[in-house]
Amino acid sequence: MNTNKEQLDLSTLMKYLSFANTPSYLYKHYKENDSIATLSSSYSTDAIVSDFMAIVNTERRTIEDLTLLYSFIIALTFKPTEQVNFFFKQLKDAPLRWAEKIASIYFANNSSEVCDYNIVSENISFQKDLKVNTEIF
Amino acid sequence: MFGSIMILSFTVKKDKKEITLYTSKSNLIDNEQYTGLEETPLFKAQMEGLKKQYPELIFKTSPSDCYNCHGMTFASRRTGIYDAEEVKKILMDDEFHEIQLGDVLAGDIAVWYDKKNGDAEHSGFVISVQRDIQPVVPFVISKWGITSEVIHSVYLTPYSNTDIKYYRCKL
Repeated sequence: MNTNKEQLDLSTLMKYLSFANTPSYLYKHYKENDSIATLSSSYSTDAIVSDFMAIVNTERRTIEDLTLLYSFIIALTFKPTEQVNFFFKQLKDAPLRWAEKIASIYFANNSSEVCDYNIVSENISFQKDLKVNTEIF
Repeated sequence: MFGSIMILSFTVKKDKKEITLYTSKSNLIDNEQYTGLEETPLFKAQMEGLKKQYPELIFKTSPSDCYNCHGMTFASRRTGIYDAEEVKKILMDDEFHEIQLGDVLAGDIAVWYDKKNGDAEHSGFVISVQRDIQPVVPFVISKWGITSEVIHSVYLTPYSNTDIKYYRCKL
């Protein structure tokens, strides 16, 4: 793990996850949780994505694992849009119960920035020296 | 990071398990059944802590992630309904009419709406109404996420900053 999960208020976050009936409830409460914001500011996007991938690709997950996964996702929502759009665009395919809906909430809340990202993406796709990492993790 | 495209490689298969579920107007209701909740020691401790914190509440069932509150209220516990828009659709198609607090009776439903975005965060069945105090206090049975079905006053829930509305089906 790159990040230190001790930084997260796991007990509170697990309660929110346990009580959540909808992804929007989870999103709202995790977004308001200071420990997730602190985690986000303490680690790079790469480090957080890497830890997310390490857990999401395990078959059997505990509630603590789910809590960490959603914490990492929400931590990434605090990052600049251009750094994390690739992540949220692919999150819908993640084998995680509310990944797709949370990605939708993220884009709904960042709609103007998404347009900017799309324009930038088109420009990038014409660069011949574009580095495409297919197996990062 | 910016300037390169990172492809996320998911090695675990995404597997959505759902049932065919319609409103009375034959509109499909998006739903999902989850299974495999692992009750870790920390989770068990939290459940026990909850019971101690709220001794006045009745925790009727064991934790389950097969259905959520909306699945209990609108789908007979068969599955989970996780999209607030689906709740809106059900209320409309199944002709749930809003009723005032003073008129609430057992069998009506209560829906907790987020004050900011208006999403249906929670729902449950009214099972009784305490009328010897004003305003009256409905008691409901509702499912709190993946935890238990709980019998509680409408005012005692983890769903804060919400407006509670009551409905009666008039199909």
